[in-house]
Amino acid sequence: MTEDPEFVNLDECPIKPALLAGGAVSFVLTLFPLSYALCCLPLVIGGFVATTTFVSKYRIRVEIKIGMKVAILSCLAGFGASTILYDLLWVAFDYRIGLNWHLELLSNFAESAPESSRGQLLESIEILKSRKIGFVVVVQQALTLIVNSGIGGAIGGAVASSLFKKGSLAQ
Amino acid sequence: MKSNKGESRRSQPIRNIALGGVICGVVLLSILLLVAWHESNWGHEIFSHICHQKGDRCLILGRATLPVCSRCFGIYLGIVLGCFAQLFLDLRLWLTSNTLWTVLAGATFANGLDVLLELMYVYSNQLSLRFVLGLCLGASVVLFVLCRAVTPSLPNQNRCSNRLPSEVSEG
Repeated sequence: MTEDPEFVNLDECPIKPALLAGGAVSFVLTLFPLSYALCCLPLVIGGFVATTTFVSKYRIRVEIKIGMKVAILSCLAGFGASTILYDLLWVAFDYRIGLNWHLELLSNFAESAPESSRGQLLESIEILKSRKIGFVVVVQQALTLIVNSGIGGAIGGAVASSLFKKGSLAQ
Repeated sequence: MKSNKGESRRSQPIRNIALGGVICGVVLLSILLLVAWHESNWGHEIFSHICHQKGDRCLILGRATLPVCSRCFGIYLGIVLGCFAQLFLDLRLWLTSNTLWTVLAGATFANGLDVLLELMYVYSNQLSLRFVLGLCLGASVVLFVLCRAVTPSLPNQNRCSNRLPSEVSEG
């Protein structure tokens, strides 16, 4: 029975498998508009899976910043891929994934919303329906991708890196 | 004296992360307030992937509706306050691992119960309750992460312990 070494060189632990695992989860969970109902949970889960895969594959423990970096990158990859697929289908077939479900959800929200915010919701439904893809939309999506991956990935990666503390320290 | 110095050096990376958390959190909260202040549809759209933005569940400041719900805003504010507390109080010296687990489980359970009770129509739309529960969840997550964080090993230092400083002093 051999004991784990005290330290592991981080360069010997490629993050590609973790990015694939976390990215795949982020991709699936953000492709369908689950995020509208579950807030940042899909990206938190994606980031958590990425960092968990990273530490469990190499049996290491990592500092928060490393865990967060892996998680944020995987969220960027997964959410980015789902955004690209969404846009491709929008441009090619004028089909937006989950649009009907989203509109139905917003309509339900508008019905139960107080008078003060109902108008704003109905306005946002109209904007959503009539929107065409263009430069402004792509810039907005890029900002959304960065902000949301940053928040979700940071939370998921930080939690995973402080939760799993067995194995050699990677630095 | 020597151990205090060593502990202080080990706490420095955690303080840096807490400082980073405070800065990023304050920037995020400022952006949320600015988006609300300017009633920017563009800004609301960016945060629409990270929160459902249901009108009657968002905090309203004056005439401005925040682009995230009260629970999400509470979580972000809780993260900032938790980082702030860690920065000045070094809670690693006070909180044991069991306490952290209990607080985190309690906050998560309370939020889950709130969602469940609302789904069961026991009560409806308690904005302040949702905000306070989010605040507790954000603060408990960030304290769990920062207090249990793996610190980098310094040269000539023995293997890092998984135990918190508060538990080491208890023997």
